[in-house]
Amino acid sequence: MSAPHTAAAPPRLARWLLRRALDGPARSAILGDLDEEFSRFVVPQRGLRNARRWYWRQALTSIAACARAAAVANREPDEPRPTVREIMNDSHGWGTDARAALRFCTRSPLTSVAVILTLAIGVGANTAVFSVVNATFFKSLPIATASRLVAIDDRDGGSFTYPEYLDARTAPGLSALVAGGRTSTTMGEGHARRRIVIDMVTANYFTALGVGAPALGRLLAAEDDASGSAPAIVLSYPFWQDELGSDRSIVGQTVKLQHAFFTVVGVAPDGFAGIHPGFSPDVWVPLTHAPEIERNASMLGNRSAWLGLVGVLERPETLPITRDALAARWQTTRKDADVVVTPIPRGLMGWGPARDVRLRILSVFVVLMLAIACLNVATLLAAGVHERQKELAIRASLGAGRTRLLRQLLLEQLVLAMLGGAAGGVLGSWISRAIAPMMAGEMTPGDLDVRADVNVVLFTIAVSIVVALLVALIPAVRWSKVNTLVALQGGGSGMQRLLRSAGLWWLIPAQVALGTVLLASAGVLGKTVQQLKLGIESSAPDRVWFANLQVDTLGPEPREFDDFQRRLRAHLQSMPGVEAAGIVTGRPLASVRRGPLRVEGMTVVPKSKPMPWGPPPPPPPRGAMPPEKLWFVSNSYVSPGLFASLALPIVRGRDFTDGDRLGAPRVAIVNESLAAQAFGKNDPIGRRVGWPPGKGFDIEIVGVVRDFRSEHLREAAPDAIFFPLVHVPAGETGDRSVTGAAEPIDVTLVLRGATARSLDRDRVMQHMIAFDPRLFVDRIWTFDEEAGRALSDERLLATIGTILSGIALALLIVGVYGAFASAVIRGRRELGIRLALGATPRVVGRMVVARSLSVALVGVLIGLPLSCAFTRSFAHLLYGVKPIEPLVVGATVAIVLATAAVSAFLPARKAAQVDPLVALRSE
Amino acid sequence: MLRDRLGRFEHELLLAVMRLGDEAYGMTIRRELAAHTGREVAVGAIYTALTRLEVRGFVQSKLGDPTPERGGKAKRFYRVLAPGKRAVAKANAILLGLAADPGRDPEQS
Repeated sequence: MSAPHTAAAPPRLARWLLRRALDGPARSAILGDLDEEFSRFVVPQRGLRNARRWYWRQALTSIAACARAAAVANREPDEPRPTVREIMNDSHGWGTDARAALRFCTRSPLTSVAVILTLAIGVGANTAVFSVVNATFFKSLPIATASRLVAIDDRDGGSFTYPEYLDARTAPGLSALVAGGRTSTTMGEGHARRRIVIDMVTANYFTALGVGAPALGRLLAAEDDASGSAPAIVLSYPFWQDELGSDRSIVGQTVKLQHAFFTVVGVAPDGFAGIHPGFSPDVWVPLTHAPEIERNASMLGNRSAWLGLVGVLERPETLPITRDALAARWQTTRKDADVVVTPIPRGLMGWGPARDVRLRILSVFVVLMLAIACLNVATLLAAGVHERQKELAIRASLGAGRTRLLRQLLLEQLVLAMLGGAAGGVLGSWISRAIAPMMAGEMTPGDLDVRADVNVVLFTIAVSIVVALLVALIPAVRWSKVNTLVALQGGGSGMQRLLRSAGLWWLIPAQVALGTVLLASAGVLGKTVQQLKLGIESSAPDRVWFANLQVDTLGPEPREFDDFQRRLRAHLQSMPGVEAAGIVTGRPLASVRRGPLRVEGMTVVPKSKPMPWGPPPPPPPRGAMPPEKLWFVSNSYVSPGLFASLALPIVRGRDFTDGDRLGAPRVAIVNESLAAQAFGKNDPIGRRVGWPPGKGFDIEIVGVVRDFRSEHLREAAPDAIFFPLVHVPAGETGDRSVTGAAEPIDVTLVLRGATARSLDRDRVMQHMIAFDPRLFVDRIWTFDEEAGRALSDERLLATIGTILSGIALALLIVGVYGAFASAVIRGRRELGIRLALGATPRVVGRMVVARSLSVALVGVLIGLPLSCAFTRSFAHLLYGVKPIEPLVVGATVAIVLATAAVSAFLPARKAAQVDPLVALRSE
Repeated sequence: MLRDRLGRFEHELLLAVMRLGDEAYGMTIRRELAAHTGREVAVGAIYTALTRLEVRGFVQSKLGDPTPERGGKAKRFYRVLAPGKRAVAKANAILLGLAADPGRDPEQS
């Protein structure tokens, strides 16, 4: 460094590099030769500028040549170059390298922990989603006969009558036939009742399916079907555990199911949850005793088709025999003689394609997450390898061949990746247990058995191996280029060269691109949830409480119900903290009731709005108008105060009052949408309509209420008409059970609290018990919860998408920061030169941030088309937002670029603080 | 037999050293090669190749005097030894044989 800086001197840096890189006697000779030629020939012949360039080239190529020669010389001259196979088989070296790898992992614990955590998140998310997929699609039923189990359907998936079952039992090829139907009923008496799901099955159910030994007592046996036998009931293990507190004395006790008493004979084994995965019943009862529950004697007759048939084949090959025999047998008795026999080793799958879409989106999410995690770890490790060049060089000079070094690097990274994979497996099984209940929706099960099985373990191991290879190979392959880079290093100019030479230039944009996809998808899903909630926000859903009430304490006389609802409403309004209270049939956001409305003087029948979901309206009775000539509108029976409790204003006319009682003139309130459809701009107040079973136009419209998306959050408000609660036709409020029996009057109480905290579940319950302890309050929940249930799919996806995007952004910060920090350290000399040549610290800092932004921009430009393609694939899940939403795209770009800028900020400051003198001297 | 085979670069290198006689050291060898082959060879490559040849007993080196224009560094002079000369002759013969008339049998010459 003390050499005089004369005009003819060779470049100091190149000379310094030469001195550093070379060793042995050749060093001094080479330096001497280059200096001599430089000053004697090259400068005079080519000029100083070109001469310096010549010197640089000579210096770098000489270093490269010497490095190559050193690598060759380090091997025994006569020993052939070892092949990869030989190195891999060298067991002694394996042990050494494995120890070195472990040492490396413990030496930089922070990096190791970061790597393991990152991979654990990636692998864990995948394991979790796969656990759900596995439980949904791949798990066999935990019973001995799973491989021989078949579902017997006709072409339309129709049900069968009990006599048909008895007849089909003897079909050839079947070793057993089981029939079952499901309903929901209540267990217990008075307000202490609880709603349970019961499977009514033939008594051979457990033995035919090969279910293992009961946890307690006995399972159903053939004698339970006998008509004279005492009704027996078998409890499911989770029900016994959770609802009955694992009470061992329960066997032999009597329980009341709605109208009938059953004796508990046993508890099913843990793990057997029926043959509908995810939809497990709480109890099983022999179906010959089912009629007693609902007092519906016709259930077992030949007009009541409600049974599903599940057969156990003698051998899997006997399926066609059974199918043909059943088809022949039913040719005369059933119109649809087509018999479909399907193997169901995984049980009966009850759900449709909606679930698949959600799982598909989740799968894409977690794969993206895993890819980001891999890229991130690769970035970290690549930077680490770069910093360890000196150590690697020492090992190389001590005789380690390149393949050997590669092996050490691979081992280190494999160790880290495997640890990450193992941690991910554990994490995944936790996460899967957390998301399985979240997957539960209105139509989807919540009790999937997501416990890890062989499939899940194999999956996790496979993912870990792929991940390990990916993250180990990227830095290792990059390292294989280090040799030449070592030589080129220092010859780089500017940040671009720096980043490129660091091998990081494609890792960061790739991460940014994948993160963009995640972020944009989470964005449109989040916007969907927000849009869906807009419709109910005005009613302050956190203040609204619903209570489902089953009224079976009344006689058939309508007056009794009128009196009951009047007293009940007064009682509710007397409750402290209640601002408004009302009673409605059905369940807002969850039930759809449509009926044909006739409007006096209307000539053109408006088109009925499509049903948001559920079965199509029943066909009209013989002689009635065809459905296209009828206007099917949403209808419900409401008490005074209902609209107030939902904060729906009456925009014209009046609300119902206590004067709208039995015997008073019939009145109705319509919503804005119906009013506009039926009357256009004319005033609907005072107009008359007709409603079945009435014939004329005997109902007068007295009010118009604000529109409300009462049927489904995704649908616009239906055309809706409301009648006074007292006019509710007896037996028409409840849904009909699967067996056709009418259920008790089923109403929903709506309470509006003065504030969000003025009501709670216990107080509502106590208040109801105070009113009448015999009443069955099925459920108490808030409007918020109801909306949450209606939004569960979208919210689940949006939540998981947002969480994963957050993690992706955090990883991006770490990745960009790590890459740029190490680039700045390695590029200190260049920065020093720039600063020495007059660049201000501000310019240098800005350069680093600009580089980070442009790298991120490349990623965004790649990621945006990808995310558009992805969001388009689930466009039907979106609401009020386009797959390519300018706002979401803009926000995504802004967030990603801001992240890139922020994470480059510290390295940029470091770059700006480089002291040129220190930087140039320190090396 | 492989031991006295010469690579192309080694061949050129030995010829250059022989040509330069007493003046054969890194810089002159490099310039000689550049002048005749038109290729700019790295001086480092020359030394690594010469070191290899020295190990094989084809050349011998000795240190010369340091000069001021070399920054006080000594020159390393090279001389081709007898085995080296034999190897060069053999390599020459191979090239000449290959370059000769295609009809002639090299065994009969």
